[in-house]
This record gives sequence, C-alpha cells and structure tokens, in this order.
Amino acid sequence: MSDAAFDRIVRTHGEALSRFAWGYVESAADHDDLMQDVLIAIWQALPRFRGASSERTFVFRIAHNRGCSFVGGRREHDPLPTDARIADPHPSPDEALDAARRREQLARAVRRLPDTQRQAVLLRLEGFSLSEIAALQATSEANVSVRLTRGRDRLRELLGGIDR
Amino acid sequence: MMSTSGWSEWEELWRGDRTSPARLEEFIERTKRARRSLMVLRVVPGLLAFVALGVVAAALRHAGNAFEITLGVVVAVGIIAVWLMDVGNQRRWAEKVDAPAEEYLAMRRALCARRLRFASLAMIVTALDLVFLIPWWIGGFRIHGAGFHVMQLLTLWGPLALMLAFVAWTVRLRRRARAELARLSLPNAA
Repeated sequence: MSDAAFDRIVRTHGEALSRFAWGYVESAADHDDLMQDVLIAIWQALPRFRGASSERTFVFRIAHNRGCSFVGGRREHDPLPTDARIADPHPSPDEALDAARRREQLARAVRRLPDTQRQAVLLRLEGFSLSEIAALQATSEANVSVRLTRGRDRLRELLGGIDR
Repeated sequence: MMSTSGWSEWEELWRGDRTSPARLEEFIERTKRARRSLMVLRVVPGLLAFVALGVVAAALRHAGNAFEITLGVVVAVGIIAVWLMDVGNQRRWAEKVDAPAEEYLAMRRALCARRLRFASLAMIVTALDLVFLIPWWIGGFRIHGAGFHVMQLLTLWGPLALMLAFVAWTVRLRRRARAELARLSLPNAA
C-alpha cells in the first residue's frame, strides 16, 4: 500500500475519526493512543480494501472495532458507571457552559452507551444516513432506527434535561 | 444544564470539534514512526527463537545420553512451534478489523483463545528448556567455574535473563487475553 493513499485517508477522514475516538476514551493521552491504534489498523487493512463498501464505511468500521478493543483493555482497571447521571466534573459558577464543555458532556454521555448503540449514535452525529449506518453495522435500517431511538433517549436521560 | 433537544443540536455541537491540518500531519507522522517500530518488533520473536535454538544446539553438543538428545530435540521443535504460533497470532491481529463488529468480536475471541493456548505451550516449552539446560549449566560450572565472562554471558546468564523476560511477557499476555475474553463475553460487547 502506498503511503500516499494512507496519507490521503487520514487527511480526508482524520478530523471525523478524531471526534469518533472521543466516543471511546476520556483522556487526551488515551485519545492519541487510540487514534494511532486505529490508523495503524487502517494501514494494515488497506491492502485488503477492494471497494465492496465505501471508503468511509471501511474506515469507521475499523475505528469502532479498534475503539471497542481499546476500551476493553482499560475498562477492567477503570470501571465507568453505567447508569449514573453525567455530572460536570468542573462545575462553573456561570450557568452558560461553553461549547467545549457541552461537547465534553455529550462525549461522556455517549461513552456510557452500549457498543452498538454508541456506534450508531456516533455515526449519526457524524452525519451518516440510516442506510449507511445499517451497511456499516451489517443490520437492517429498522434495527438502526431502534438503536438510535434508544440511544437518543438514553443520552437525554444522561444529559439530565427533559424538554420534549 | 445541557439542553437535550436532539440530533440537530448534538450534531452541530459534536462537529464543532475541529482538528487542525497540522494535528492531522502529526497523526500521520506518529503513525509512520509506530509502523517502523512495529516492523522492528516483528523481527524480535524470530531473533529470540534463533538465539534459543542456538543455545539448545550448543547444549546438544554436550549431551551425554539418548534421553538428553531426545529432550533437546523436543525442546528445539517446541521453540519452533511457539515461534510459528506467535507469527500466526501477530498476523491475525489485523484480521477482520474492517468487518462488521460481531464478526470482528468473534475473531478477537478466537485470537484470545489462541493466545491462551500459546501462553500454555510457551510455559511448557520454557520449563522443558530449563530441564534440558540446567544439567549443562551445572556441568559448565564444574569445568569452567562460576563467573561472568563472555562465554558464560552468552550461554548461561544471557539465556536465563531472556527466559525470565519471556516468562514475564507470557504471563502478561495470558492475563490480558483472559481479561479481554471476559470483557468480550459481556452483553455490552455484542
């Protein structure tokens, strides 16, 4: 595989992959480690890529699979609560939270979702269509809809707001 | 408190996290360095197997009876088997990584099982290797005396240190494989 093809993939999908990685890890150091792990896996898998799926599907499947493996290696040492409300660890005296903090809250809530729901939600946040998510998860669109609905409900619950 | 109006707001918020082109170039460079390290690391097990076989061959030259010769040959075959199994496991690391999650998880479970088998075989071969080498080392002490000169470093202390390091690595590998297998059995991983 040529380095040019790999470099192009990173430049095209790297930004979305970087956001996607925040759906699995909490610290900046883990984020960088996971990014490297995902990129190495992409580099190793790229010679097998024959275009059966879109390049985006190929890249995000790898990201999810390696993300789950990566979290699996750490979860044992650092268990996360699965049903607790997401509290802001840096409460601000101001009521208005900045975008970065709200994004951090959202990412923290996404990380609490079960793997399949989390994958569907992350892909939805990245703008994947229902059919693309279904192809990526090798399931039906109806199934994806259910996962997204449950994921959204859980996110609302975790984020602690009820406005619908 | 964060508003939870739904997808459109979350999407906008989520995609507001931008990565600079310089950061992407940094990821590319880091990955290239890691790839080079991986290539070097892939050579290490082969080198270790070569060294282990060399030590066994040297000990075989001093074998005193048919039992020792047979044990030495069994150990040599065991070392080759462990090395080949490790090569196979390394190749499987990236297998199915682009497959749907369930297929990938099934591969990871199979890989964990293979790693556990590898760890068991590696422990047995290391134990047999010790049983085979200890009499040779004792004989060496009697004839050449104890010490740290080059030949003793090459035939005794060096191999012993490598074996200890290999056992420690194998124990760690087995612990991690068990932990991953346990985690993959959780319903959340499906």
